[in-house]
Amino acid sequence: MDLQEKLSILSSAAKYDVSCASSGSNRKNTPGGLGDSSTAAMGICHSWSADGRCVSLLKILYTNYCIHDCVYCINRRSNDIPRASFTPEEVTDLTINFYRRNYIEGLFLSSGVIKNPDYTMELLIRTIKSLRQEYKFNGYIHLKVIPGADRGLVREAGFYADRLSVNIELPSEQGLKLLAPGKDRKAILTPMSYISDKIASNKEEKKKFKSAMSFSPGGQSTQLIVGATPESDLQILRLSEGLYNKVRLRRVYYSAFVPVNNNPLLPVLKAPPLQREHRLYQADWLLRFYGFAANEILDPTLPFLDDDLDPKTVWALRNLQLFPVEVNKADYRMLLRVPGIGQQSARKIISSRRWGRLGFSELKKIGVVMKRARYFITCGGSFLEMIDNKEMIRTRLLKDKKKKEQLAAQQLPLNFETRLVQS
Amino acid sequence: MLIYVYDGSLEGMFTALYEGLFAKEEIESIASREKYAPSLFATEKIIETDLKKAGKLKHALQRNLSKQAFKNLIYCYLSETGMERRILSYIKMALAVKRKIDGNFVNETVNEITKTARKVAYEVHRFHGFLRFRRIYDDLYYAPIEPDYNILALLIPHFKARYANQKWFIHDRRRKLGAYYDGWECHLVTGVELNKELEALLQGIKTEAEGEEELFYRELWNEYFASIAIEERKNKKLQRQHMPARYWKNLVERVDQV
Repeated sequence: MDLQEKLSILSSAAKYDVSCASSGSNRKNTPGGLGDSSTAAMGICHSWSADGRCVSLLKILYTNYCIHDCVYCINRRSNDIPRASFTPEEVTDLTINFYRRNYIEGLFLSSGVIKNPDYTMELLIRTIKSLRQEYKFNGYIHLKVIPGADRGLVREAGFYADRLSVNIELPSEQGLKLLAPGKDRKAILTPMSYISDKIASNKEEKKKFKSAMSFSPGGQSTQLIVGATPESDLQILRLSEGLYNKVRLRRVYYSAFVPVNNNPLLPVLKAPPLQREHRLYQADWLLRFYGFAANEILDPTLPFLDDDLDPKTVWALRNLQLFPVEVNKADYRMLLRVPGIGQQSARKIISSRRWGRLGFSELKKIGVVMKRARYFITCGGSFLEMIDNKEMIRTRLLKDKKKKEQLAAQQLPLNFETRLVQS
Repeated sequence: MLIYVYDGSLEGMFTALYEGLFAKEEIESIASREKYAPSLFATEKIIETDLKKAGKLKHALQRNLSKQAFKNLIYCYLSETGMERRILSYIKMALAVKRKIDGNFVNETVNEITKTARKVAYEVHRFHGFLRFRRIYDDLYYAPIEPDYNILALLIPHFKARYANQKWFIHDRRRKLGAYYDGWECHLVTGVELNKELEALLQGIKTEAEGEEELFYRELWNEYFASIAIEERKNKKLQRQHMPARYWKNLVERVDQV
């Protein structure tokens, strides 16, 4: 089989892993070396594929042979699909040559499990070790840890990788039992907490000895599949919250379930639940950057996120007693909780109001989305819109949204300018 | 009313700004020679670049502005969108109030300067990703770009750090500028024209300039680019939003064909 065919099979097999970040590393170039991951603190997207997802790393499986038979997975043992395996040389060659041409930020290497977890893990390590040592490669490497692999191997991997991740995939133990009979939750969570401890202790070590090798400097991430099993959004968010607070994960990725296999155990979906995935990401942002707790966003009487409105607006509507907020006085924390005010506009409000009182036109200039914020704020004591009724505000917001969608449908071909992303 | 016309260089602009700070008449606009459009109602004044004056102003600005604010002004200059007059207002204000004004986003001038600088910074960030090298004549990595703003100089540190060990040439085709890194240091060149062979290459014609190896990896990359998209999630609109079509020309992946 030629390299092109292998690449086609093994990148296609890896594409259901949604993580693409190349951020957070501090790896500098070395004399005579290739690559540098320290100048790109934010991560860099090199392209966008036809599904609108960012392409940052060469994302491949080492092999798509697998001893497991996970029901949701395209690479399950019992599927009759073309199989292939790379050699370490092929992976390093592709990585180096793609990197030299600035196609990619680095390598994302995962794998099906062959023989046993240790054997597979050793192959992956041999590959990235060669990249680091023989090729002096200092680009980004994201390595998947194979659940069940020996702790010593995980430790070794961390010294070559910029980010390690173990995929939880199914958000609950029951889900895992049902769809991934070969895996157990403990084999997933144990390496996660080991990596977390190791990252923490490595940071301490680096404070004392500057020359100490970094252990997974880009942190740790994981992925949850959404919609293959019946967990609620609340369950998922609570899990994420725990992963952020207790295991100090850098990112949790949510992957809308794409039904690649036919199986009576799997739900029948017309399309992947992309809107649900989108709302989960919004809620995830609220957890990480906006100071929300999972229990504030959802509660057992309302365990799913709203399809029509974003989670922050829904929270504000449920907590109208906390509003209106006076933008000239409120602190950063409270400003962040106002629908239509993001991190950037909250910061700009704080710094601008030292120069004088802010009115509604000033807020607009700063970048506050007045369509949403107007129901929740006062400026110097005056309202723009005084509605103290949850249902009425909701109706108004939905009407605005519909109008915007109609307008967008008409205008899109003319107006493709991208908004500035927050960098 | 006056229009200041300077030679287009950064020092030229600083000289014009310096003159502007002390001018008694009202200054309608400041424009580079290239961008200058004569007006019926204003008289033009040619500003001769004066390195001493330019240096003086630069020092005063570095003393009185925050690091970010100073950087913003340079980025506005590089945007080539006629921001010079606004920069003058900004400087006047900053020197008058003796307080760091860059936090006052409500002020029209500060807001415009910040916004423009951000656009430039964002394009730099984009090109860290969108730039594509092709290996030509055996050992030179060549990348054509056509950015909206004059960002070539801002791209250098990033690429110098990661490709310290290979020779490369980044070519701003719109401005005929080049940054050539010879393995040791980087040289800026002006008036860059391509030879026929390379010109043909960029039109998609196979020439001797590129070896088989180059085609091999480019095809592999295209194979990869096509196979990672998930059919069930296909969303060309979203793709185009992140990667506007004007950038596609100099990418080596065939964005429109998958």
